[in-house]
Amino acid sequence: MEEQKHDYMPELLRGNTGNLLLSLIDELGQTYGYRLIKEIEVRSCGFLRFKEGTVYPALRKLENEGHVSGEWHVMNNGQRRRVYRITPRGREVLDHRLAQWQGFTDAINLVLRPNRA
Amino acid sequence: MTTDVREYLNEIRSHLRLDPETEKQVMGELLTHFSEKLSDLKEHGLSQAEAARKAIESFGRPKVIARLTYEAFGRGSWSDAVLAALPNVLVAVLFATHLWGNMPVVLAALLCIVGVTMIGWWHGKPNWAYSWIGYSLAPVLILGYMSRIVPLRAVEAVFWCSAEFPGIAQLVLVIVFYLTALYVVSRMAIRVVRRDWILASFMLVPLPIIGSWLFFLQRAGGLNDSSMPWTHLWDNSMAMAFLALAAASAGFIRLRRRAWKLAAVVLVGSTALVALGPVLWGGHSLLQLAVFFFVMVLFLLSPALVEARVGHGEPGEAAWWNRYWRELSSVAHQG
Repeated sequence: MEEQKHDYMPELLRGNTGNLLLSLIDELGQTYGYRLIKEIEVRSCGFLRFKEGTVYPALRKLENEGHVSGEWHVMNNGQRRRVYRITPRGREVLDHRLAQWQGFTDAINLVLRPNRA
Repeated sequence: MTTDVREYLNEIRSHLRLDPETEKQVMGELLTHFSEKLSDLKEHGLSQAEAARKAIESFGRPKVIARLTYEAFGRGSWSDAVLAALPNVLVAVLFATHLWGNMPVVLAALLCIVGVTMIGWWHGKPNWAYSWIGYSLAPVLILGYMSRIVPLRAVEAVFWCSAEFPGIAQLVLVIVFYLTALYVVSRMAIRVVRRDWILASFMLVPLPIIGSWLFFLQRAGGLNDSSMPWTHLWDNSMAMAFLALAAASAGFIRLRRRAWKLAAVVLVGSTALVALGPVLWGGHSLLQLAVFFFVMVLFLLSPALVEARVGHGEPGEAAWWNRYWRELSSVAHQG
């Protein structure tokens, strides 16, 4: 797929970074920061781009709120990598936020494109 | 990994202001990211230098990353907030119950404060502990204030012959106490400032209020005799001031952003001191109270100036970072 030029308000992505990360962690089961960054870029065909350093504080925030749990894994080359999994509480929060997002986007679409509702 | 990456990560680390253990974890995760990112970019044909430049560019501004990381860890739990508020509540209770002059009760409170301080220090100095550390310094302040009479009398005897020269042993003891207290307190304060200067502000906030109260007590003649009834006239006002500090301390722990934490401590502390002004120092004009407010604000912000001189991070941390960098870099090269 061709890379799409990103043209959106940064606040839209900032407000949803936690949800994107939580959703991917839930889907991938167990993952780490760099992989999440690449997944978001690949899946959005380059549309969603952000400063990669902002992912790590967002992950730590999710961890401190109890939505994900993190632990250190030692890789084959001896380096340590922090790996995250979603928690039951995180799954509840994710389900709630996905339902909210669906309702929100449906309502926006109804207003913006009423003939296509 | 390149020098550029190391300098970039050093800059993030210099703005972090977290406890050493958390800082290690955060920096470890970022180092791993750069190791993988550089590896990926070099596989796509970029040179080491180009890969480093691109990796740094895509990561974000160091101050922003450090701020977001601080905010991710910035909010303490409710139990931490209660722990931070407790020493202020304890002192408020001493005033509200008029027991601040009861030596056994005061000693018991002091032992409790010092004990909890030591427990907090032993457990890696969590943020709530700095509230207790501040009160642990209060006895030093009180003893220093009470013993100022000895050197003052010595100066009066030498220069104006208007007082009897105090005993040499007594004078030497007081001077040794002052020098030791100055050394210990300044070493502790610098260590706190190196960790995070706003923790030093948090630690220092009750001391000017205690100092002002000592000054009032001495003027009322109650420094040596707390049974005088007028020395207890303002106990309720003092209790309210320390309860306000308790709320500010809890807010300091629970608020996520540094600016809000600092505002909670500086504004509440300064306002409490100025609110006590007419009570403790007698009537003052609005201008004089404004000056006291401004002086208190400057005092509580002064740790920022100290940090500009002494820098951030304890001396041992640079050694940890250098060692960690060497290990990670050698592993990355082997990979």
